[in-house]
Amino acid sequence: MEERIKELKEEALKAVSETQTFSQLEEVRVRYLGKKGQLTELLKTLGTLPAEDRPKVGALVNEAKQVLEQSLKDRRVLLLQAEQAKKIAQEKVDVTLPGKGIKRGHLHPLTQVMEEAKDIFLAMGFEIAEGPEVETDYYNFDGLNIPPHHPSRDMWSTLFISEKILLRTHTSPVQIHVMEKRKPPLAIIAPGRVYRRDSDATHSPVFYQLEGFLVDKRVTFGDLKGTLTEFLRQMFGREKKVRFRPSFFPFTEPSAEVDVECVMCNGKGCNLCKGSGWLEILGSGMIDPNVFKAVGYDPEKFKGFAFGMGIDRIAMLKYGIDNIRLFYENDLRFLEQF
Amino acid sequence: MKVPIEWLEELVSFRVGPDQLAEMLTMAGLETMVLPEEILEVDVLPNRGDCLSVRGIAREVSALTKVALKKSKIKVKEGSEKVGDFLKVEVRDHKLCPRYMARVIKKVKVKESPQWLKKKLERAGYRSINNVVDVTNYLLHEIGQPMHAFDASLIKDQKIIVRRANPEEKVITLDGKEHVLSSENLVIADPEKVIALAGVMGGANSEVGVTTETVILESAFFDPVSIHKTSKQLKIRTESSIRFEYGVDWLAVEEALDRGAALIAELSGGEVLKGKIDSRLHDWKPVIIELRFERLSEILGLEIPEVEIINILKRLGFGIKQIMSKGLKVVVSSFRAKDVEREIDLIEEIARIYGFGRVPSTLPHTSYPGKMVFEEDRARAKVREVLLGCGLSEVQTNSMLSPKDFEGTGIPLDKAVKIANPLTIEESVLRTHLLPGLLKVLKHNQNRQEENVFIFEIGKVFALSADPLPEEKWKVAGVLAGSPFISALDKGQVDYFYLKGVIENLFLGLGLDFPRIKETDHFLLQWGKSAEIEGVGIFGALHPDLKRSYEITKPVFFFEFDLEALFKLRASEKRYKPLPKYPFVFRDISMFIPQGLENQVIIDLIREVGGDLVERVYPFDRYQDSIAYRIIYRHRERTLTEEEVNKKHQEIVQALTSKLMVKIR
Repeated sequence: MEERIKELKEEALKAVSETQTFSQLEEVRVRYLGKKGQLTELLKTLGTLPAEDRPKVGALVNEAKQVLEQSLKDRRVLLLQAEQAKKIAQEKVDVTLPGKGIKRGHLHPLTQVMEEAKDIFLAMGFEIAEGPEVETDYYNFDGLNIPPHHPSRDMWSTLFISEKILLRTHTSPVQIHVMEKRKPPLAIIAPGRVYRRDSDATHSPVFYQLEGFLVDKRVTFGDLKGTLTEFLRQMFGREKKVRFRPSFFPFTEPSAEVDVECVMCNGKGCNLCKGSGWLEILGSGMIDPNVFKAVGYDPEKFKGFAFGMGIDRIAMLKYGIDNIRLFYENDLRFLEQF
Repeated sequence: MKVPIEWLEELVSFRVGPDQLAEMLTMAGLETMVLPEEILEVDVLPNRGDCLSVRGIAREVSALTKVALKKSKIKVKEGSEKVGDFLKVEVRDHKLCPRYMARVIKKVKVKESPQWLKKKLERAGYRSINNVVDVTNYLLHEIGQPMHAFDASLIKDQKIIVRRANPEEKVITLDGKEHVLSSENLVIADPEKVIALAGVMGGANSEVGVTTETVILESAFFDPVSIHKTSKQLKIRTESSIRFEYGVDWLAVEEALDRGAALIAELSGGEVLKGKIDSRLHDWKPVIIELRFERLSEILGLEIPEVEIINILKRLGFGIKQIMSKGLKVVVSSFRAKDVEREIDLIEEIARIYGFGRVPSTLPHTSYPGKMVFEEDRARAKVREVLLGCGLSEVQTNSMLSPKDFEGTGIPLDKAVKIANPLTIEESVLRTHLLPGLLKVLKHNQNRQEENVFIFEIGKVFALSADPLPEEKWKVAGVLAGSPFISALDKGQVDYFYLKGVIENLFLGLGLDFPRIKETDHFLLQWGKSAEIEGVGIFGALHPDLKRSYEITKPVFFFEFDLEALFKLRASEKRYKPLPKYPFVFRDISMFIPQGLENQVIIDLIREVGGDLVERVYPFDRYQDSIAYRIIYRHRERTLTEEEVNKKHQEIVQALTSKLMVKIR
C-alpha cells in the first residue's frame, strides 16, 4: 500500500511537470485529485485497512495530496508567467521609431532674446510700455533734443512717409510718450520694431530695439552703470567684464557706449571684436535736461538714465550668427536650431 | 579722421605709444584705431566738430596725458598795397554768414607743392592739387577751418557778395556737376555770377589753376544749419561742409586765414596785400557757465575733488573765471562753443576725462510704484505658447512689402502706407496684412524642399486713416501646409479641421469661450472651407487664385486675427462649480443629414429642447452621409431615471425630424 502511494505520487508529479497548458494541468488535477481521481480513490480504500495501519497510511496519502496540490499551484504560476511572457513578446514594438503627435514649433530667436532681456529688467522692477512704429518727427527727433537740420539727425538714416511722418528709427520716442502722460518715479522698458534706411550683413532695414529709462529724484550715472552691468552679466555671463565709454547721443548727457568683453575671444582680440577684445552692445546716458524740458519735467528736480540696445545684434553675438538677414528670411532649417 | 602720429607730435609732445594713445582716446569718447604706418583713425561724433582737426585731437591728448600744447606764432609778411583797395566784400546775409574774412595774395606762381607738404597731405588722406589748394587742405586738417581760394582775375570787379541764391540759379561746382539752387542756399558770388556754394564747394568758374596770378583766400564762419540743408539738398558732402555743419572755431577763422596767406606766399613766391577783410555780425563773446559741485555729484553719483575738477577743465582749454565756495564760473573757449553750452555739458567733460570707469556702480535705491503687468504683452506670449504647442514655428517678416505682394494676393493697395524714400521697391509699402510675408516664407521653404511649413507671426499692420498718423494694429496670422506630425509614418496632412483645432486651442489657451463662427466668402480664402469670427478674423483654406499666383500646388491653410479684438473677448471670471455627484446617462442618435445642415444648428436644437438635462452633445461617429451624435444627460441633484431620459430623448428626436428634416437611421 505504501509502495502504491509512493508510486502514484511520483507518477502524478511527473505528469504535472509535463503539462504545457492550463487544460492539461486541469486534466492532471482531475486524474489524481478529482472526485474519481486516483489519490481520492485510494483514500476511499482506507477503511478496508487494519485499524492500526490507518493513521499511518492516511497521513501518507494526505501528504501526497498536499505535495501534489502544491505542485499544481507552482505549475500554474509557471504557466501564467510563460503565457504573459509570450504576450509581451507579441506586443513588442520598435522603441526607436519616432513618437506620435504634433511636432512642437520653434520660437523665433529674436523673440527668445527679447523675452530674456525683458525678464531681466522686469525682475529689476521695470515695467513695459509700447509706442507706435510710425511716428511724427517730433517724437522721433525734436522731443529727443534732435532739432531739425542738426547734423546729429544724420546719425539715423530715416525712412519717411511724408515730410513730418516717418518710421521710428529707435524706440526712444516711447520715452517722450510715457513722460508726457505720467509723472516720476518711472522705470520703463520699451521693446519694439524700429526702421532704418540701411541694408547689409549687419544692418536690416527692420530690426528690434529694447529701450529703457528710469526717472526719479535721485538717480545717478553710477546707478546707470550698476543697472546695465547687472543686465549684461545676466545676459552674457557673470564673469564678463563690462566697460562704459564716453559717447554722444543728443538725448543723453553724459552719454556712454557700453561694451562687453568679446563673447568669442573673451577679450583677447579676434575678428568679431576687430581685435579690440570688446563688443559694443548698447548706448546709454543720463537723460538730457532738454528732454525733461520737452515733456514738462523740471530738470533740477528730476534725474534719470536711459539706454537702448539692438536685440538683433545681441542675438547675433549670443548665437554666433553672421548675417542679420537670416532672422527675417525665416528658413525653417535656421529657425529649428533655436 | 586720419591723424598721422608725427603731425600730432608737432602740436603736442606725448610719451605714450600709438596703441596706448588710441586706448586713451577711445575711453575719452573718441573711438580710435591704429592703422599701419603710425596713423590714427579717429571716429569723431557730431558734437565734436573741434576734433575734426589734428589740433583738436592734440588738445584731447594734452588733457589726457597732462602735457601742455606747443604754441606757435604766426607772422604774415605784408606788402604795401591795401587789401581794401583791391577787393570789396559785401555780406548780404549775416545770419547765414556771421563772419567773412579774406586776404589777397598777388604774384603767385601756381605749381606743384613741395615734397614735405605732398607727403603730409597724402598721409592724412588728401590728394595733392597745387601749392595753393594744398595749403587750404593742410590748414583744414590741422586747425579744422575750411578755406577757399579764388582766382581773382575770374571774379568780376573783384567784388565778392555773400548772399542767398536766387531761385533756379545755377552753379557748376569744382567736381563738374551742375546744381540748380534755391533761396535756401547760401552762395559766394560776384556781381554777375555764383562763384562758390558757400562752405560746401567752390565753383568751376573761379578755380585756381596754373594761370592764376592773384589769389583771394576766403575764411569764414557759416551757419551750420544752412550748410547742412544745402549739403543734404544738393547731396554734396565735403570735408568743408562737414566741418561747417559741426561748427567751426570763431577765433580760428582769422588764425587760419593768416597762416594760409603766409604759407601760400611762401610756397608760391607771392605777396600778401596789407590787411584783411573781416565782415562780422559781432565780436567773439565767450560764454560763461556756472558749475555747481553739488549738481556734479548728484548726476555722477560720486564726489570729485575741486582741484581735480579745475585741472581737468583747464587742460581741456576752459578758463576758470571764478572759484566759489560751491562751484565755479567757467569760460568756454571758442573751439568748444558749439557743444558746451550748459552746466550738464561741463559735467560730461569732467566725467569723460576723469574716467567713466572710476564712477562706482550702484543700483537705484528707490522703489517704483509701477510694476503693473502689461496685459497685451503677456497675452501675446500666451498666443505664442499655444501656437508653438500646435506645431507652428514663429517667424518675423519685414513690415515693408513690395507693391507686387499686394497684386499677387489681391490685397488692395489704396489703404496702404507708402514710404517716400524706400531703399528698394521691394520694401516700399507697409503691410496691411501679415499674409504676404508668410507666403514668402512658405515659398522660400518650399523652394528648399521643405514641404511641411507651419508658421505664425505676431506683428503690426498699418493702414491709412483720417489722422496724419496711420492706424496700427497688432495681428496674429499663420500659414499651415503639409504634415504637422512628428513622424512621417503618420500620414495625415493639414486640413480645415486641423486648422480649426488650432484655433479652438488658441481660444482655450487664452481662457476664452469659443465664439460662434460662420462661413465666409473672404477674398483671401476658399469659400466652403473657411470661416469668420466676427470682428476678430478669418481662417480657412487659401483661395485657389492666390495659390496659383504664388505657384503653390498643395493645400495651404491660413488664419489672421486682430489681437486687440481677440483680447477684448475677455474670459469670464473663473468660478469653481462643485463636481457632479450623480452619474450621467447617454443616448446616441444616428441620422441622415440633409445637405447644408450645419452641425451647429443640430447642436443648438438639441440643447434648446434638452434644456438643463443635456450636459454635453457632440458628434462622435460618421458613416457615409449619416452622422451619430451622443447626448450626455445629467441632473445635478439626483440620479436620472430611465423614463425621464427616454422621454427627453424622444422629444429631441421628434424635434430633429420635424424641424430639421433629418432622417433617423
